[in-house]
Amino acid sequence: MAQGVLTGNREAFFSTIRQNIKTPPGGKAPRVENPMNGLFTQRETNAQERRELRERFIHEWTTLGGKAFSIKNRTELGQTIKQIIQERQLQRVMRWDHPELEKLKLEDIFSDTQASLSRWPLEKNYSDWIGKAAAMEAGIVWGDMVMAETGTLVLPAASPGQPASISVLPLTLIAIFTTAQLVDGFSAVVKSFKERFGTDLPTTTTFISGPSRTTDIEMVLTIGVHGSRFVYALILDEET
Amino acid sequence: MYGGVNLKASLFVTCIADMMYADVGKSVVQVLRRNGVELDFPEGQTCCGQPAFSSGYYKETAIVAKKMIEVFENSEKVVIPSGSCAAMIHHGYPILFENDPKWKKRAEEFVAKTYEFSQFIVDILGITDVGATFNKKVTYHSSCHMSRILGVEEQPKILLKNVKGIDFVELPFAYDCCGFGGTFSMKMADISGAIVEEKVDNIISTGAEVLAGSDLTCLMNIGGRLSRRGIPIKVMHLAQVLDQGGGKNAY
Amino acid sequence: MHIEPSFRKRYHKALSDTAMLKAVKNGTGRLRGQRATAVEAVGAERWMEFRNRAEAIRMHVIQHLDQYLEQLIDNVLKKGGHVCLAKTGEEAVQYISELAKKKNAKSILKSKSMVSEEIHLNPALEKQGCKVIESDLGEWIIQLAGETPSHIIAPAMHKNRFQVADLFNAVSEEKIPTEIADLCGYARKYLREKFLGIDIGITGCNFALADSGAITLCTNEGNARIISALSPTLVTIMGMERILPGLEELTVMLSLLARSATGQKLTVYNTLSTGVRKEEELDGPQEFHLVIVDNGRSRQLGTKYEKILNCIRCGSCLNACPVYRNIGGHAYGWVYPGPIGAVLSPLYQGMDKYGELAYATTLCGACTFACPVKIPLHDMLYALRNDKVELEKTGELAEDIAYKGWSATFASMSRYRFSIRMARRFQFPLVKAEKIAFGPPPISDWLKHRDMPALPNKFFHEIWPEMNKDRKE
Repeated sequence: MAQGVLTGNREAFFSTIRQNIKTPPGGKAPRVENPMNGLFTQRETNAQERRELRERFIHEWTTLGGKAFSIKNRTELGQTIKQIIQERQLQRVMRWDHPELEKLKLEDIFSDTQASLSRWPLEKNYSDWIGKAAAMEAGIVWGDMVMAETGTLVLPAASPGQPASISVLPLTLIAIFTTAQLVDGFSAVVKSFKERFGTDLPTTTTFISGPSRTTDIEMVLTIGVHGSRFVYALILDEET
Repeated sequence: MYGGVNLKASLFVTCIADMMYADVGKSVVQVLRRNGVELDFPEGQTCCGQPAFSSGYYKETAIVAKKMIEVFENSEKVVIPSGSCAAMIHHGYPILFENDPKWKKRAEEFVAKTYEFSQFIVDILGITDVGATFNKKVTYHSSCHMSRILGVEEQPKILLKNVKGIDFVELPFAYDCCGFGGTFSMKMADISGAIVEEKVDNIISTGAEVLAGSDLTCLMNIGGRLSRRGIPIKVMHLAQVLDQGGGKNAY
Repeated sequence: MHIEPSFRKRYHKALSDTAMLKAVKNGTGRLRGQRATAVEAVGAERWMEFRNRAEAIRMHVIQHLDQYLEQLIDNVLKKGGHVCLAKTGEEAVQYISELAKKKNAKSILKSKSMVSEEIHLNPALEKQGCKVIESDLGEWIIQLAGETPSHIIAPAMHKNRFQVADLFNAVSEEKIPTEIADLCGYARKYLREKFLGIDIGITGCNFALADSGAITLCTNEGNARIISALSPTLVTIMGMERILPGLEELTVMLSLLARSATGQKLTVYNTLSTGVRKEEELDGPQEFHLVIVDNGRSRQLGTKYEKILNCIRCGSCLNACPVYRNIGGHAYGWVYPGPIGAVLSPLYQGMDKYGELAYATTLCGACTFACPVKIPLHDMLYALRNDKVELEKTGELAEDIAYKGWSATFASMSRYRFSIRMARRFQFPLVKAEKIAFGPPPISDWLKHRDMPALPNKFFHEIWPEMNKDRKE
């Protein structure tokens, strides 16, 4: 990647800052070691605890206006997806190119419905794919990590097949994951990100907590301005 | 009694009580004496300095603050029936003298022995029931400087709730400002008027017969609005309730 | 847009705007109620810990601001993003305008950026023929109205649905009903079309992370996400103090931000964007420009106002403020209203222009107690007044004289007692039925809305001797 360009007088900009900063009598405020310490739930979980987290997540997600399904087996997965296709009258759906989604063989489920399923990328050129993506009615993503306490999907664009556009554009978002992806909250996410990415974060990482909402008019809650209006979480059991 | 000997304390009555609400001062004295305090009244006292301090006149404030520190030099404890005045001493005096080591020390000593009235009764005397009787429906306004700056919140309510026969009702948004803000009430009278109106509407909604409070400036402000609207809710300082009755200046 | 220079005139206008005040009371009431519920759910002790931690994080960053900014800049440049260091608002506007010209940008979409309002970016871009559209629903509403935001979190809080319908109907071909769902539906449709034709996207920056060069964007609507994903050229405007060391600190801030602003556990969309997309990626910006703006911020470093830079723009001080709740945001006259505005406006734009705002407060302290990063706002308001009087020596003559007189009088028991006795003796022309019925200002100001008791027959120090008469020593 070519280095970016800096405009402006770096010397002057910083000399003002450095001149003005003063060291107070007791010294400058020190770096906070362990900023998250004691504030967030921190633990390793077992499968049973993660099933409990599933219930917690479902509660939060539903309160936020989303729908969640606890999926026992492949048959139920198929049924639930067909139900959603019916409910939302879906015809065009796109999905992440993700190994876990591959395993689920979603194309088979879609094959005997009215809806088509396209895998990312839709086209190579922006001018070609943008129109197609904008016309998609639903996007399917894999929940990389899922925070139960806040009802949050963590979606890093960790590979080119996992673009933000799939979760950002369509009216309906479908997130599929297993209980193995469930964590309490930020502690586990930060730990995982440190291990996987360090400071080299993906181009985009989004934390999604429910459907898009606004209260900009008279403080009345409206769902679905700009982002997804309908959000579905399909939670498989990790031992399936 | 306090350990067999009366506890000695000095009264800092505040300029507003001195000038306008002598009955409140009287109730303060009576309640404290009744509960084992040997109270004196150092004559040189005038004002804690809040008006000038709030307006940014720190030099002028310091002149008067130094005088007050001197006046109460020999007091073991100082009791002040005003949350905002106590907050001024606790919060404002150290700021006034932060660059003057000699006066800073004297100010800190003054701070350490000064208590707001209800704080004194509950925390120092250890008394939560002063033996008063008052058969009225009473609500309580929690003044801003007393609750947020001084950190005294529960003590006045505990004392009120323990008054025999009292029907204590919580004030909605009790911690919201009454709109006084010192010279703000005059400089931006219309905004102040809008704020006190909210407070008065909340008080009316409780159905209370009496509004109690610990800060005479708040009470003068709220009472003034109640009076202007012709609403017959009585306004009393906590000390007057604890003294089993109202004063002449209560609206 | 012309702003009336007199605060007094502005707030008088506000006080007579009953529709606006009703909307503001409704809005702030909800927000602070929701915040209170969220804080209760966290628990008072843990909330205190969160605030203490956040304060410590921000203070450390601000006192080492040069270090973290250097780290951020190096990381952004390393990842192929461009950086503009704008000491003044003009420099930032110039950079972005030139970029727009270079890209021949016709359609520019923005997500919320208070800094962009500070520097008057939109008019400059429009002047050179770019169409600038605000994508945040509230910001779009006020853009259509030609107004400035009246609340940090809910820019169009002062408007009701009928007013919004009028604004939308002026740009729409079909008639839109005044139902809120319909209004939002129209906004989605209209703005979605614009999103698909972005030349340049401009965002603000909730938090920049120094160690990864990432910017964090928080929205409930998802507009900032769409912009960051679909803009071929992405510009992020950042106040230079909006920076954190890294991800761990961010989690603390995000947990406080949403709860303080609206009572939510987290804003619906929190996006971390490192700027330029990787070669194999298809969406994301091809070009990223981070514009770091000073515009008066560095001047606060090392002063007693330094902590004002802790601010994370949550708006909870506004909702807590009895003055804001009763006059709304426009009366404050600049980009930032409420307590944060009352301190920032004089500091950034000058005491001569905005000094009055330091007096638009009852000093009740509710703001300080609501602030998630513990900015001592009410202490700063006291300090601004003190600065006006003692530092800049621009106190009003009448006040200077009054307080000099006050200190001379109150420093002496005899002078004090003499003065109040004289006042009592000579108050009679003003007194009716034991109340002061009229008087010169400032008494007349008090009397506008309230009664005032007259000075009574006895002062406390006069009844003290009688109270002591029969006491045994």
